[in-house]
Amino acid sequence: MPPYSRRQFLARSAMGFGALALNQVLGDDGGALAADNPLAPRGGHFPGRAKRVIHFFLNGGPSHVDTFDPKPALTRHAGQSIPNTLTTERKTGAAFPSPFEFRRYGQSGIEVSDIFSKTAQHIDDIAVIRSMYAQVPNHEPSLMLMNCGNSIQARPSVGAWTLYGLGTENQNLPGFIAMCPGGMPIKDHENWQAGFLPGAYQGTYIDTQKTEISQLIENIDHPQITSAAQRRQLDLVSRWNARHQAARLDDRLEARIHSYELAFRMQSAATDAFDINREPEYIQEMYGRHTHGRQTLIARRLLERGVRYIQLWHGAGQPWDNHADIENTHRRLATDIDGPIAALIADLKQRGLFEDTLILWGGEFGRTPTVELSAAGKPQMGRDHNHYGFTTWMAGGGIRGGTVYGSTDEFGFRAEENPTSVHDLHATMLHLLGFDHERLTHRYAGRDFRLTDVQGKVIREILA
Amino acid sequence: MKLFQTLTPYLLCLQFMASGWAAEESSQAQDQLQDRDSDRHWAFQPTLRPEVPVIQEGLDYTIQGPIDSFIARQLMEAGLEASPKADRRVLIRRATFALTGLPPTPEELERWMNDADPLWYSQFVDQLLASSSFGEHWARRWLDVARYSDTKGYVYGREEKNWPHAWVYRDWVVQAFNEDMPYDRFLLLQLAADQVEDRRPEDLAAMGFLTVGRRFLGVSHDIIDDRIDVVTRGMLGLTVSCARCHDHKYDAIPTADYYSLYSVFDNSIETLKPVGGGSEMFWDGHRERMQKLDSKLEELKEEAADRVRSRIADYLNAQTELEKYPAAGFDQIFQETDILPAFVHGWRDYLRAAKENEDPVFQRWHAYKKIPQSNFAKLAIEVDDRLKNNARLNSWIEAAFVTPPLSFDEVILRYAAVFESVLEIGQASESVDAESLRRVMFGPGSPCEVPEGGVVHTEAFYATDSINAIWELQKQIDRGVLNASEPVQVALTLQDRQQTHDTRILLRGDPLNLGAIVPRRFLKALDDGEKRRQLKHGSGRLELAKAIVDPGNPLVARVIVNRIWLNIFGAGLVTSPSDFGVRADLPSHPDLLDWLAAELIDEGWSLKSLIRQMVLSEAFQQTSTGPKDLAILKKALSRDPENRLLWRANPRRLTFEEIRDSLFHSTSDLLESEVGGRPVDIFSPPYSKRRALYGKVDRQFVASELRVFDFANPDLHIAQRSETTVPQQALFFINHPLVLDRARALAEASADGTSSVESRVRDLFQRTLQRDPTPTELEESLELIESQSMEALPPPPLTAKDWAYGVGELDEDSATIQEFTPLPYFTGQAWQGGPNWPDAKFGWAQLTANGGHPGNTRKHAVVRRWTAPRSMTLQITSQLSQDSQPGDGIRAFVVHETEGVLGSAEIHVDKTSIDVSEASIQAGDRIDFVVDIRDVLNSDEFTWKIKILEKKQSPSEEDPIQWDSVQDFPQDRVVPLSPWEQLAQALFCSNEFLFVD
Repeated sequence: MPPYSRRQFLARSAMGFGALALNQVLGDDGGALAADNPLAPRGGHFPGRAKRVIHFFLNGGPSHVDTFDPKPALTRHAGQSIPNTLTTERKTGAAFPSPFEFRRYGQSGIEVSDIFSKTAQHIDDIAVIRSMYAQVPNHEPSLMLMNCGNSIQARPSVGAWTLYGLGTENQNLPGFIAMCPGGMPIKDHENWQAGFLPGAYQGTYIDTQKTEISQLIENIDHPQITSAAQRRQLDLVSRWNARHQAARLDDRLEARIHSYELAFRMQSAATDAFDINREPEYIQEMYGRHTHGRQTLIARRLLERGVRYIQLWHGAGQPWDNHADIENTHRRLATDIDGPIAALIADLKQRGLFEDTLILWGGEFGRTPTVELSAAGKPQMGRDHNHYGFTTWMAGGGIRGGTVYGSTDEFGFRAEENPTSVHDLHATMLHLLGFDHERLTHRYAGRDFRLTDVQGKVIREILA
Repeated sequence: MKLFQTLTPYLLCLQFMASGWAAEESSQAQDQLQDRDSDRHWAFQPTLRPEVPVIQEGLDYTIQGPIDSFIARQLMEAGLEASPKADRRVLIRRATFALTGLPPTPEELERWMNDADPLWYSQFVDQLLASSSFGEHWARRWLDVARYSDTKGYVYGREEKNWPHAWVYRDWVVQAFNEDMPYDRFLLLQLAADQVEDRRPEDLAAMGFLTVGRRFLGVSHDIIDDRIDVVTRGMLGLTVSCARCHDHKYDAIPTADYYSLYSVFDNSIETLKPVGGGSEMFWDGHRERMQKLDSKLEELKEEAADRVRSRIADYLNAQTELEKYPAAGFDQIFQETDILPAFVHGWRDYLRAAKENEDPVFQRWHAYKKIPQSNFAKLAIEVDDRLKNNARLNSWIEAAFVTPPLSFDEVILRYAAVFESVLEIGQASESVDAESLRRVMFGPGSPCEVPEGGVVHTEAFYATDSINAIWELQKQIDRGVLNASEPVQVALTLQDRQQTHDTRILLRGDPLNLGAIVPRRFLKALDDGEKRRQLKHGSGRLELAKAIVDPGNPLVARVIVNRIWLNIFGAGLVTSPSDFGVRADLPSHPDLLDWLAAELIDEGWSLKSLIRQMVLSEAFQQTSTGPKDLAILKKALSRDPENRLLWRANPRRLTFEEIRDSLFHSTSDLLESEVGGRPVDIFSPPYSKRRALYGKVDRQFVASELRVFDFANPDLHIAQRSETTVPQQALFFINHPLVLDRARALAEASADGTSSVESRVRDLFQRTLQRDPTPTELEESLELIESQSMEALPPPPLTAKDWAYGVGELDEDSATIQEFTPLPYFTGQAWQGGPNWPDAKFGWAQLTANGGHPGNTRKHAVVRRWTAPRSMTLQITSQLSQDSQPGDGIRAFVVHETEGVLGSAEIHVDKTSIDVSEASIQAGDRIDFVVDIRDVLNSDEFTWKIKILEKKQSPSEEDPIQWDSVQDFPQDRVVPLSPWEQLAQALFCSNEFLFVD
């Protein structure tokens, strides 16, 4: 079933009453409840290869030439200015070779930097897109572009579109979860907004620095009443509500009765899903006993339980924004997540979830191959923002592993072969989820909007 | 493919157009098609007053007025029947919510239930219309339209994120509804109060409509787009913003019309104006802060212009490589020595205008610019010959080009040399040629000058450090207003520029892709083709406002009638309330819509009479359960399942604001008499008792409670809220501390100690559902009361007793704590000197679970004291942090009573660990965790999380103990809900509480 249209939505929810009450009065079978729940699971335009998404968001902008896009030319030209230094946010100087070693991994022999050596063990499952580009070298618009497909206007995020299209499998948990330890990324909630879609599609933010489960999800804890007492209380509410509904023509009433049952179950389901202590020791070890290990393991438990879309942010603010001393900063950041990413891939495989889980890795842009200069012209041993060319990679559901798609120029400044826009990336993600990105639309302000707006082309070359 | 050149967010709208078009190229055929559609489109037809249908007597319809006649006619035509009148209790509740957003009080209900006057209903409605709650409720409906927020959305750290004026606008809207300001004036003031001569001083606040939008990081194209959108969709029901990049696909809105309106707003600049409140001292300070900013801006403007004038050759040269200078929105960090894109673009625009005007100064420039570099010298001679004969030329320029140039670089240098020599002419010159050159360099309109306006309009013309400096001054102004001890009312208004400029179409919405100049004029779709209204005076904003509220404008009255109808009846006559374009569905009742629109205008644009008329109609008063006869009901359900013909009333779910206000209303706690004021936090205990309208709306962090209940997204103009049902709403009712707090309050309010349990249950039902319980409900309620018992409190951790909380002084010589004094007062979250913080004796000293704040001097360090319950070897790990920039940070020490200082740190905006790897302790030994102010008392709040771990010496020993300063901190003991409180909460959870029949 395609997602309901704006008009149907209004007709069903806001103004009239829908099929359920109608059917009751007319004596037909009901069964329309699903249609009343904006989060009820449904299929796309065609069967999707991926059922769920996990996005590792390296906020701040990871350097492609230090991770997945080796540029030996930078070593050859170290310290010399390169022919085509492009305008970015700040001034940059000479070619700045990566301080990290690149090695070939797997059957495919794709080169990966040492700081992602554990992830690299799975390179034959990964499709690396080395020719991404965005629009401007500034965090805010680029975050909006990567997350919502539009750098300026308030538009729904990819996760919100995904819920709009597919609903979610587990009604006891939020369908779209954004986790970020210690606070929020730049642009805060805008990164997982529902825009003009109903608020039910907005991402639920969780601060994974907190370790107490009751603090992770709002209103999940009921310290002032026992479960047994709450059950008796809700049974009474349910009797009242059933009587109230019987005399009325309004299917929302039924949906709301149902929602109390869901809420009651959510209390235990969510507690269970977020409790990684229920994992065996060796699994906890595999992910690592630190914030990123814990966050990634929680994510796996959620994916397993049918959460549709998860974003794992690296941390508050913009940790990957390394204008200076990239050697130490990037190494430290990569160490945080390299192990957990590798563990997740291995773990999803052993659980048979890898084939239909789409993993996305990347930031809002990359970094310059040239060294950043201070106001006084002194090299900072870091790199400025670079939206002209950068890398993302995908793995899992429907992705052809061991693939490299596109390339940047000799130095890594600008996407050159098969330039890939963020809209192309989005179109490809929607395709993998079972949607024609041109047909997943929502009527707002006089026109039908879509995630990719008028652009986007599915990158067939990386599909399995 | 040009991939990277430009930022063109609106390139995206291209989906409506075939490829290869440009805004100026839309085909004649399509224009005509659109015009024809527009000519016929119902919404663009003049609003005539249709005849009120005469309904045959004897039919089963009660006709209260013209509204019912129109509705009855269409019901009859469809072979349907209206529903019977709702019972009085339902009606009282429905009307009270519809007009005030609140339920009736039990007393009001009682009074009106027993009123024997046949005219009771209209008296009741009039009373509701006269209450101040009316304006509060209806203002919020308009604030959805106005994408109201108290904050700007994401801004850089240098800028204040709260709007200083938003709440003043909100209060103005409340007042306008309450005093029934005519709707045409309501709109006029919101668009152009600055130019309405007979305005009251507070009416300037009305312009918040334009200025409470998102900040868009200061990118003016987007700020203006937001204003065009809120004006056109909000007031006219036209989606003009769709025409930003291309002609509107469906409606007769060419891109040129978008840029006509764009020009109106581009020629208006933001100005902060005082409205009222505040002491004289405050305003003195305010003026001083404004003065500081103004002088700084003056100084910077002069410096910036001088710098440009000293580098004419560079700015001219930049014109040959414009691709290096991205548009606003591509933020770069600049030093004063850099060429600034804003000036480069100013020069570009200036030169383009000079070309079109055949300005004698730049004739040669443009002629040479056209010739290819490869054959420059030869072609330059030809240009020279041609120009000499045909053009008006400037003698100074001619003198520089006596010999033909050999390259365009040479052209640049010669022009630059001429301008340099012009710089020496300080004052207006009598020579026409000299004067026209001087005007390129100096004065209004010169591309060397920073344009008029405050920080947000001019920041792009400065280097980054200067931008930071002026934002800092602006921040002091804003904070002065926001933090004033008494509320201060200011208005962020728009004022016309003194020197207006022409605006060009931005092709495909791309600021680097300039099209033709567009005149400022009113929308073609709403104007007489031959006699387009020009917006000539200043920015044209006042004329625009007048054109919008012109009674001849077919949209303005229809759109507001439909918005009001939607809020009264739960569904619009037109289902797309902010899109009345050709794609909108036909109204369900076209004649009724027109009749009401005509009536609104004839009644002097009174919204109260319009609302009154709707609420008094029989259509409003019928039941929501439909006709009693099942056969008739089935027919209605099959023919009109969406109830577009209004054969019954639409039940509706309460909005978040109504839910929250009802929770407080049920205990008679809602502060209904207090109208207006600065925004308050409504989500933290102790909970504010003000109406939800006054809760702070932060568009960057919309409270999850609001989002879960479909609150209007404050980033977008919202025509109609969604109405979803999700389990998070249920979680709110069963677990949110606010609901629990209210359940306790309600149970308490219902207990008077003397009444029977039955009458207490009855009171609970009356307060929440405005009715008595049925016998079954009474029985069920009493059953719940009896089955639930109070549960025992969970015990505190055993390790909690080993801690004490106090103040003292670290004597650094002896490394001991002198005069340890326990802090005497516990708030539930913190130990401190007394109920007020700071305390007269203990000052700022405070300890919380996570950290605290040292007392005012080193003598009053805060001390978290741990006493060993038994002898042991232990290990300490702790994380200390202090986050505030002002002041000099703090000092922290771990002190053993006999061994002395085991660890210490001095930090300022930093974090660190203070660990002790091993220490042997005797039973009864004390370890103190001490924090003092370092040298200065200023922003010394800290967090310090401490773990003390007993080390196991041999495997046979008992399990080691771990102390955790956070876990062990006393907590406000949670008292479980009593059975009566559980019953009160159950009533809040009921659908009857949440829905209005």
